[in-house]
Amino acid sequence: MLCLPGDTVTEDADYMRGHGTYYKSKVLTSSVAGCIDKVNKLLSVRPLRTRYNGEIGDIVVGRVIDVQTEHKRWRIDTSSRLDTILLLSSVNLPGGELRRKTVEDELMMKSFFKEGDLISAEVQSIFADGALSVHTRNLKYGKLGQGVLLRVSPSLVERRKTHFHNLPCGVHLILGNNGYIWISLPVSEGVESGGFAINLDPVPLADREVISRVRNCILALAKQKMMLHSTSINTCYEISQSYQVKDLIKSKIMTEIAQLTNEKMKIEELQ
Amino acid sequence: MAEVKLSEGEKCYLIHGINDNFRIDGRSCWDRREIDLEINLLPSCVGSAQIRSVNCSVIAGVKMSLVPPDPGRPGKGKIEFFADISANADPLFEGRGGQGIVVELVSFFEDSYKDCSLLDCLTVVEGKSVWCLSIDILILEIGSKASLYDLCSIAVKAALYDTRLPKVYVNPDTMDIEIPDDPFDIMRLDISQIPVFVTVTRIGNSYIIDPTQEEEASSISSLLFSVNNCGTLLHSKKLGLGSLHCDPIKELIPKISVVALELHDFIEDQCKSLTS
Repeated sequence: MLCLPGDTVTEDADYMRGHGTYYKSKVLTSSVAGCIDKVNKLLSVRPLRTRYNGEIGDIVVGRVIDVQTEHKRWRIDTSSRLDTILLLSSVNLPGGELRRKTVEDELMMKSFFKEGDLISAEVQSIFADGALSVHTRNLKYGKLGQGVLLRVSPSLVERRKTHFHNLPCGVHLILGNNGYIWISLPVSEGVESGGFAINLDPVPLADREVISRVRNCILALAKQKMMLHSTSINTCYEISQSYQVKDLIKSKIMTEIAQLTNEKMKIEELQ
Repeated sequence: MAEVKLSEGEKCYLIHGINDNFRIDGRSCWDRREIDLEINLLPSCVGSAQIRSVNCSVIAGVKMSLVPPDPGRPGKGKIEFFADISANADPLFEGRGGQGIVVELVSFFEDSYKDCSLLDCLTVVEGKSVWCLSIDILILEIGSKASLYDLCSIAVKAALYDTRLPKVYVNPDTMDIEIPDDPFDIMRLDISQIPVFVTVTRIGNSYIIDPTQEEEASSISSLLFSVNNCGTLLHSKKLGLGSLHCDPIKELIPKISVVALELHDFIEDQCKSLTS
């Protein structure tokens, strides 16, 4: 259920006060705009517009902002309140080599990930102050090559079993829990390198059009505050076919395709 | 508008796309994003306009006063520009943080409006008193710096279209100035000659207009032109650090005139439909 700041969450005194709520003359009131979350007797309001609150196991897309050789770590921007940390001990080295904790690795840090690089990673732990620590010790994760990054509100991406999708239209999509979305061409199974081999050949125009179309569809859905998952994006992609890619950034058309997607998904749910 | 840093892969993808004349949002090199224009929204100004385009938002307001003219230019009115970047656009601009961009913007406006025919119709009594228009530009949100210039010029031109100056009567014997009490006894300005700005950004081997932040981050540099309603270039300036060769720029000039004329028409159409 959605509520606005100042709305009464409940008048029942049995409930406990959670995040995003406060007591106004003994009535539990919302302090943010968002949806009400109930866990047993704890009521909290999850804001729609928020920074990313990480949980262990989340898949995130982030950008390296700093290489801190002296601390053996990278600083990553994941749109959370505090900068996320990627320790040298939680990355896979190129070619699957095991780290021997030598000084050479530390000096080589910039050749693995440098400032501006985009990575996909998994949240490993959360520090006491709320800062996240991520790892890339799986060939699924690692540096991202050619493609497009989108930033949307983290509340639009639900936690799901899988966040890596190969859409039927022929693009690879990473829906980061932190609201960063990566769209690229699919990588064939079994040749994942953890991102250390990046292909910089020009992408054919036909593939570009598909990537841009998916990008514009996601933006249209995000603008209408619709949840982003593979079904909604696929549906929107199909609906958008009646327009040219460059028309999909016009606000009128964006609203129209998002609303049509919404209706179509409701119908499918009923069936 | 915090500086975006792009990875090698992203930059490569973006530049190859522009070489194919297909940008990441599906536009071609010379396509502009949607522009949303509103006029007459500030009651405290004689003319105002707000412009929005995706993640950029600018308000322009015009105020006027009667002042003595500059000694060297007795028959010309005055136009003063002020700009401010809200700290809401980025915490970077708090206090004097936005000063760098503001000074560049204001000086480009002053240079472009220096010889504008608008100044001639601002004279009240030659050598004695002229209208001085103070134009405030408030930048609420910034997308890319290059497209900011274009949008500011549109906002200012639209605000001047909206400007209603009271008609002033001069007593021919005493040379006294009388301002009528009737609030509807006004004159409008002729804005046709007012220039608009067109910025072209060089990415890879092509030039584009209206870049996004990501595109600006992978550009070499931008060229800023002010163009009047005949398509004549009045003034130019380079933004950014890279060096450019002059031959491709010469080839660009007809294209820039076309883009500018489209903008002039856009402003006129929008303003007319908003007032009617």
